[in-house]
Amino acid sequence: MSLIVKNLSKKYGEKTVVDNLSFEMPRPGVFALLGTNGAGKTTSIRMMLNMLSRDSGEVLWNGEPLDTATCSVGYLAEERGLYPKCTLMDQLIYFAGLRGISRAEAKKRIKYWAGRLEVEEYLYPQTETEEDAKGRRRRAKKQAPKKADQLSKGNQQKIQFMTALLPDPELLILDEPLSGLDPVNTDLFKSIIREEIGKGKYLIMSSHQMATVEEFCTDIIILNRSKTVLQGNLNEIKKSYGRIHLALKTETDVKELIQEAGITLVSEKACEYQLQVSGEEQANRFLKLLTDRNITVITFDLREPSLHEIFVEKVGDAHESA
Amino acid sequence: MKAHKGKFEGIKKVYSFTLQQMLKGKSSLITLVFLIFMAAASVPVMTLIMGGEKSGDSDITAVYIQNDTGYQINFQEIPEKNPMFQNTAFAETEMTEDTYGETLGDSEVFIHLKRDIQADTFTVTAFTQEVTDFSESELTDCAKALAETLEEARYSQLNARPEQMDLLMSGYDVEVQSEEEYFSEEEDNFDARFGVQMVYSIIAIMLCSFSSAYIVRSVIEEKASKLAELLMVSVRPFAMLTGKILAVMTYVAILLAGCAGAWGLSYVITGKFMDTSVIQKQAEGMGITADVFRISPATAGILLISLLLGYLFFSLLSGFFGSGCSEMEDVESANLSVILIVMAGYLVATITAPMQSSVLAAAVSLFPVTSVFCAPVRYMIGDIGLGTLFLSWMIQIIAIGCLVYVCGRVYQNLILYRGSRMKFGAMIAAMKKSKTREAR
Repeated sequence: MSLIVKNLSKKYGEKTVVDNLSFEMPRPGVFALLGTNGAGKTTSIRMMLNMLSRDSGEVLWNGEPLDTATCSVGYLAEERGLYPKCTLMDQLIYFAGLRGISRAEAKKRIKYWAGRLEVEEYLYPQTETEEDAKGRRRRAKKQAPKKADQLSKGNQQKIQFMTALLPDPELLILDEPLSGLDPVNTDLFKSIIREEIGKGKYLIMSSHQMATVEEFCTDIIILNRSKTVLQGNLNEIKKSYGRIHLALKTETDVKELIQEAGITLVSEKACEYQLQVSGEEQANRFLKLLTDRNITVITFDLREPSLHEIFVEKVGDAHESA
Repeated sequence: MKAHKGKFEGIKKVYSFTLQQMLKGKSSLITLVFLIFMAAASVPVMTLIMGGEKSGDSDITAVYIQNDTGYQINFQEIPEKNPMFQNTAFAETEMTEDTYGETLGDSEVFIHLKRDIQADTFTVTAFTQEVTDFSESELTDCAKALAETLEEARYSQLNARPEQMDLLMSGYDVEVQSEEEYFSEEEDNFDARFGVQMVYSIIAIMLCSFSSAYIVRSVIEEKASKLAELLMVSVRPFAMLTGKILAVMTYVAILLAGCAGAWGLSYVITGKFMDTSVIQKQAEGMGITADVFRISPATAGILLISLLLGYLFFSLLSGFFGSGCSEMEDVESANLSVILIVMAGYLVATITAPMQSSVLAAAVSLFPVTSVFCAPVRYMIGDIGLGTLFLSWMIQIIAIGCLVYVCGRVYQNLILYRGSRMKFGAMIAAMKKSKTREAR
């Protein structure tokens, strides 16, 4: 199985919102669709799923045009919603039914995912026992099934995530899956995403949380103002930049030495420096200089740029050239 | 597991889910119960207002009759033939119009039956105390009962046989026609024409305007709840729109059928305690009789088809206006647009109803917005022929087809649109744009 997106373009009037987007997922994995606000990520996803018409381009799944009738797609849209006045169970069964899942099977899957996402108490009415004045248990009172508007935003997000997972999709598209979640639920979502990756699913993730993308994604594409500014395997991209980021912490001020070594000072805070070197050789020379001058070095960390730094650099470059 | 993505696939699921949610919804249930209650309560209230109260027994305890007709009348038969007077005593008396005031009780009636031999007429005059324990209508019923008994006595004295008596005592209708009207073979009654038009139009307007708000709200629901994207992975917008419109149409039909059922049941039950014929008489007074409607299975079929086509037409129109909205705040303005069109059709129908121009009759019967209200009524009262009625239906079916196409396109194109309510022109432009894109 493979997913190929070829020359996807979209214009609204004279404004190009997606310009010739192309990428490929030859094997299961996670592909990150990154970009600034309004870069065209969501529009690209909508075009891929045939929700929006394309001006040009095609999306192929196993060599055939991608159609949700032939490929099971799970989609967590950026714009999240549920029927506010419907019970959660009713709407989940409805969403599953629209995907061709029988009621009985849907109930089974809902039960599994409710447990996994820790939302059982909202989906399955609990029985409460009341105590009378003498402290005796009197009567079991069944709670009414919960409706979407009775849930917190985070719990609503869990239900929405469940709707994407219910059809057991081959292709899972997650648009900002972790936005608005607390750290506990973020970890819960991450563990489920990890599980789905482990099952050999194709995942496309759009997010502004670079650390998360770095954690999961093998390939990335960075969009800025509708254009692709960077694309490829994340490790290779990082490697291509080399180890040029140096984090240094000393006991005394070494600004003069940094200047002497011809190293770029990015930022400084109480003897903690973020530096940019030309390569490993310059870094080693600088370390030798520090030891020769009897400077106590607490931290000397030479590393590849993070995705965040690459993103800022690429998008910043594009902004400048624009 | 594959998704339903055919153009029509998923309609059934959307339909049953929407209908189920409407029937489960608190506000819908309250509306349903309230309207059914109102329909049921309207019968006894209307009957009371129209003076049809019928207490089991009359409060008149005794009726004293001064019989100056010369006929032998068996007054004892009156309680047997009129159950409301079963506890009332009827007896001949020596009282006169001059003396009754001295002895007559508050629950008693003195009746003087007179005959004017020269003019050959009879008079039934009832006298009571100024303040009585019974109602005016009871007194009228009592006088009527005596008049009928007198009439029977007259026929009986002429040796009429029982079957002749039945015939003579049966009711009759009075019909007044000019010679011209008689030869034109068409009854042309302004009140009747207006009444028929009113009744049918009110049913149509209730059905169309009531469903309009629900449809607009239902169409916006997915956008307002930010669910459109999620659903579009599983079902095409066209199927979603169709399923929703059909569900709302069914709900409103259930609502009105429930009201009609409650009204009918209430009519039967009220009839046990009150004289519900006053409602019928009131309708007849407006010219609305079963005869005017020519209610035969064929006529009922014509009415149903016309109503269904009209209902579908206005429901799709509501769907169209709803498609241009993305927020619940826009429901009112979108609904108002539909209501204005429905009202325009209704007004044209009622204003033109009394007019007898055949050209006008054909025009209002063929134009889709007015034909909903006019075509079946105009056919029933004989202003247009069957051919024009069929042509009207055909035009309406074509209009419905066009609306389905336009509505589906606009909905599909604007399903991800967020913003203020789109103007009519912008919606059409959006539809054209999608058409061009597909052609590419």
